[in-house]
Amino acid sequence: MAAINKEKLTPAKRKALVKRSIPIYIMMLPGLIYLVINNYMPMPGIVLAFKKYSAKFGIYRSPWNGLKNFTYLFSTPDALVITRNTILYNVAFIIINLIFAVAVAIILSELTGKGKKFYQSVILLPHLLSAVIISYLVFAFLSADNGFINNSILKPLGKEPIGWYDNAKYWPFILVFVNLWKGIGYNCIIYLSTILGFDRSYYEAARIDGATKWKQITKITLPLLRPTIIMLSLMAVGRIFYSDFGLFYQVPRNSGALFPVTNTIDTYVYRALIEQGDITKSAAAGVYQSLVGFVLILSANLLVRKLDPDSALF
Amino acid sequence: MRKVLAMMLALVLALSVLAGCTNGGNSGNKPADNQTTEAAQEGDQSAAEKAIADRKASGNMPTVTICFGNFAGKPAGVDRIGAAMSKITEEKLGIKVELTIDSIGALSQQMNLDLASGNAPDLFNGLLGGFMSSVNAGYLYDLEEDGLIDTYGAGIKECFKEIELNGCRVNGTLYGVPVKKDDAAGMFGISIPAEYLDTIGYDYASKYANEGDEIIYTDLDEIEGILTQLKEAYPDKTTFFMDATSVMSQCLEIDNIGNDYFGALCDPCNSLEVTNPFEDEKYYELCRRMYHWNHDLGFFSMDAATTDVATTVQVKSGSLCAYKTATKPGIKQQESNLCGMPVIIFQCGPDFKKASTYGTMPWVMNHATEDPIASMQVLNELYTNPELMTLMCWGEEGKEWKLAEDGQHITFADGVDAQNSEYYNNTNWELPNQFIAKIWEGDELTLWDRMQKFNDEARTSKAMGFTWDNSDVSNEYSALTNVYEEYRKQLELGFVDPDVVIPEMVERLKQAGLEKYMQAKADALKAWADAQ
Repeated sequence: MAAINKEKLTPAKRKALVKRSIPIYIMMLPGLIYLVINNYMPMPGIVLAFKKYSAKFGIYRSPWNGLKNFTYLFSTPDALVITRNTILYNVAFIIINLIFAVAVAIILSELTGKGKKFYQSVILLPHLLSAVIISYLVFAFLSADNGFINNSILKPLGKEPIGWYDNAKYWPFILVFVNLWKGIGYNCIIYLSTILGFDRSYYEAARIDGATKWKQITKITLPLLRPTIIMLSLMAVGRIFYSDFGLFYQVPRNSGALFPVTNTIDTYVYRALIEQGDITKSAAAGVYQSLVGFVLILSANLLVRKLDPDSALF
Repeated sequence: MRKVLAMMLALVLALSVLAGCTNGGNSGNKPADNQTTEAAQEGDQSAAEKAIADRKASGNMPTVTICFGNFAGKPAGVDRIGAAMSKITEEKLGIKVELTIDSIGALSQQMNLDLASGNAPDLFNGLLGGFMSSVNAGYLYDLEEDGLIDTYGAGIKECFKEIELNGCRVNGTLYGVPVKKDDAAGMFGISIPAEYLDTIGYDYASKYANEGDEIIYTDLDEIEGILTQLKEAYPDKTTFFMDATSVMSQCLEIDNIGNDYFGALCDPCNSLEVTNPFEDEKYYELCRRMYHWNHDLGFFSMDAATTDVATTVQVKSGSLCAYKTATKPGIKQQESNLCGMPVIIFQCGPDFKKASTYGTMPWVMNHATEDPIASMQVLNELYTNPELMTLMCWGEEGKEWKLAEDGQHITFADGVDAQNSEYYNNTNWELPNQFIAKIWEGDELTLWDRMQKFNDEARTSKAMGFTWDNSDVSNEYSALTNVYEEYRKQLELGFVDPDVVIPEMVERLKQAGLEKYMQAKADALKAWADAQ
């Protein structure tokens, strides 16, 4: 679009262009409607975060409450722990998911024959499971009394059973692993489709010049993939203050002993508000998370634009 | 492109303004006040009768919607039962009623949205949406506005003592009506299937204090002896388990006034002093006992802190020998039904009535109810009309139930059982007045008399009727809840040494603002006590 706009268009040409684009706009319409209804129409509700809500007056006529709805997020001595957990887990997820997703995408793209569709479906499957089901799958492995690991692995080896849900030290690894297992199929889809779109003639030329598979990957695939990697990572950075509630609440089965490594902003807010049902405070948490995400994505983009202007999002 | 964008933006703006308007409009609706005042001026029984006569004369029948939650989801027969109830109220009050029942989980979510948007039912159980949070959000109708309950709810007032009704007051305003149920609870009840006790040769029959008693009163040392033998006899089963969310509330005579334990009455029947229950000797004793049972004697499953299978389900499936429950008249029958085998009930603590007991699941009226008088008259009818309550509790005669052979109890109608019944909620404890409904076979006909006696004789908290709005210290509450949740199961199910971990927890609670929170609660209690 940008390139075309730069040329001086005659009215006739412009008309033709618009006509040609109409079907594309129509295709865009359902998505746009969804976006408007789901993401824009609730936006005025943001005022809730600054209100002392009473149903008698409704959202807009309730009295203002300043920033008081936000204070509960910071007044706790655990504020540091929950912020640290949220950010560090997300950083770990971004890096590890990226490495594995790209690796799996490359492997899948190199596969040929019947197996390919099968593998792709199998690694996508966990993404479709609800967190509650995943929590039971994990429990089947880690249950102290009946779990697979304690009974079928540690016992035959003559080792003592481990109370997995009582020991915080294992959970950073378990959570990263579960997240990877759950998300990898989905994460690699975009990389895979990008790779499949690359011009095959690069690879043919490389093969004629005697490049090995490894050389082809490092010298052709990865450089071509770079803009996609940067874009997806930037978008992930924007959500760095959110945590996957199911992963941090359901999978550790709400075990108190694990709170130091599983309590994130979302689970803290959930536990804090489940009794109170205070919608202004939950709105405040949402505003806080999206504001920080917004600032982070802007600064990350700024950084990228400095280093590599072509890959920046905007 | 720019035009399209501009149009889009305009559309978004227009839509959001529209959305704003409808919200504002709804919440601005005020029920017909003038009618209320007019009727209240006459101020006696005749006003209620006049309202009915006027309504019938006008030929204009208002509809009152009633809603409560169960555990099984929407019953197939709910519309039919609703219609049958409506028939009674139409004839007697000139009011139509509609009944909605769905699973509590689904309804609680729905109710918050409905209350916010003004589409909620007129009458519902305050459990849905949470009583205190509904009050705080301004969702509930003041039942004494213009003398509403005095004029149109005389029957309700006869069901309860003044002090019991006061349990539903928040800052002096009456927002609900209690339900007739077990108001006290027997602390630290232990339920064990009779079959297992027979196996270890425990002679429970001789332990009852009086012939025909339901509960064996004993102490934890005796229980420990039984459990030790059970552990030997059934090494493959888990010996003992407690539902982790109710350990303190069902085991200790500590009153968690204001509905949390961050400051509580540790000697509730004698003193109004707010202290920290986690530093109380009772709490230490409980945790030490559980630590002994879990760590030293191995009564608990290693998964106790993470399992979410209900105790009775575990017994039914044969994986558990004994569990904790709160007791009340009828408990033996109830637990035997749930476990699928006869159980013996022991009790190690007193019968105790908390300050909050009348405010836990009151029936409330939506603030946006269109006709408060009609709603109140229906509510009054629910508390006083046995026919209506039997319908609401058990369904229709001939369809769901029939008279049993003794002509007094009722039981499943021919060809109907718990599985295929179109109306079998099993949640009568949250309905307005189960005491006047018919009694199901298996329960004694005297059950409700015994229940009333149990309620009246239980040790009662001195703060009876005290309710508290903690919104001024809700930041502390959030922080405290997160700390307590971290330690709760580990301590109360005996996974960690209380003498080491309780001081650690208390230290962290103090950092999270325990003292400030307790002070606020104590001040509110003092103000309340002075006003009494």
